[in-house]
Amino acid sequence: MSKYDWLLFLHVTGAFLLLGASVIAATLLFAAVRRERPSEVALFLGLIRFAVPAVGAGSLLTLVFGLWLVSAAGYDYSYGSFWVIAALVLWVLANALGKFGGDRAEATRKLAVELAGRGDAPTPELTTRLRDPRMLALNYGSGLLVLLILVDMIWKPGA
Amino acid sequence: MTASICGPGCGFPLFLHVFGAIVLVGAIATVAIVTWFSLRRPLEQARVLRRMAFTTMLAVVWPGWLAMRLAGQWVLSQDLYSGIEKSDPGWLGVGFIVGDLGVLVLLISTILAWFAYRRTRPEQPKPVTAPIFAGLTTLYLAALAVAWFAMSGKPGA
Repeated sequence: MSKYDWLLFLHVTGAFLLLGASVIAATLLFAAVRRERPSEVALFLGLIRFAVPAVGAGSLLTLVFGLWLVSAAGYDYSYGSFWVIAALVLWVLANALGKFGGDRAEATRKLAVELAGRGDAPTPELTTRLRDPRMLALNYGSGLLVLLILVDMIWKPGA
Repeated sequence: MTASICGPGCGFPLFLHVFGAIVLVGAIATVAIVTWFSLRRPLEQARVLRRMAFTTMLAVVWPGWLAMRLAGQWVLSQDLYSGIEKSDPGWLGVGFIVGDLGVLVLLISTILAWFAYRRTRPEQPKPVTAPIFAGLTTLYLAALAVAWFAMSGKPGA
């Protein structure tokens, strides 16, 4: 395998970690939103922690090896190309949205844990927080932006 | 970087292939995590987790596999890859093995997931199908990792 092949493999591995972990987080969030008992909500939201290290590692791998690939690919790619700049902007936005959305989901999980210890009865506050459109928009929006990066990588507009 | 060597006409099938593969990997990881975790939870939570694993198999894993496999064949039908199946490169063989044997693994996994959920009862909080299902999905996740190494790095190409 050439240097380019290895760089591509590591870049794609980062993409699989980042997007695969986004699928894990989205599936668990979807399951949590459909539950009412605080202990079950806490259970699903708590499992998202297994996806977080993969999101971090994937973000780093895609960025480092993606930028390296631009110069090592041997095609006529440039750091000033639209698709490279678009990918970087989307990467920053996706991470920011994921951070804010993740913080809100974590606050909801803490409330669910607290309620689970106090009788485990559903409350309107927990339901409201779980279905908070901003929390859902931030989390699912982050996943959508990561998906847009994949679209950008496949079609490479402006390359 | 793959699109440029794939050609301008195969953007959508390639996107669908990669998207399906990523959904498949993420969903298989989800059911593995959820089912392993269910083995350490009390009965009621274990049932909730195993039901979620079963519905994820049906609603996310299978659609992901279908998109990955069908779109993969679509990519191969493009001009750039004409005759490649006859030359039988190793990286493509690995992709076919993991993809096609995946049907059998996923079929068995789905049946196991159903039994793991249905047989979780007070007298049997950890039915034997639950750890087998968790182990099988973990092994398939490892096989998918080998396939993404072969498909992206294309060793021997």
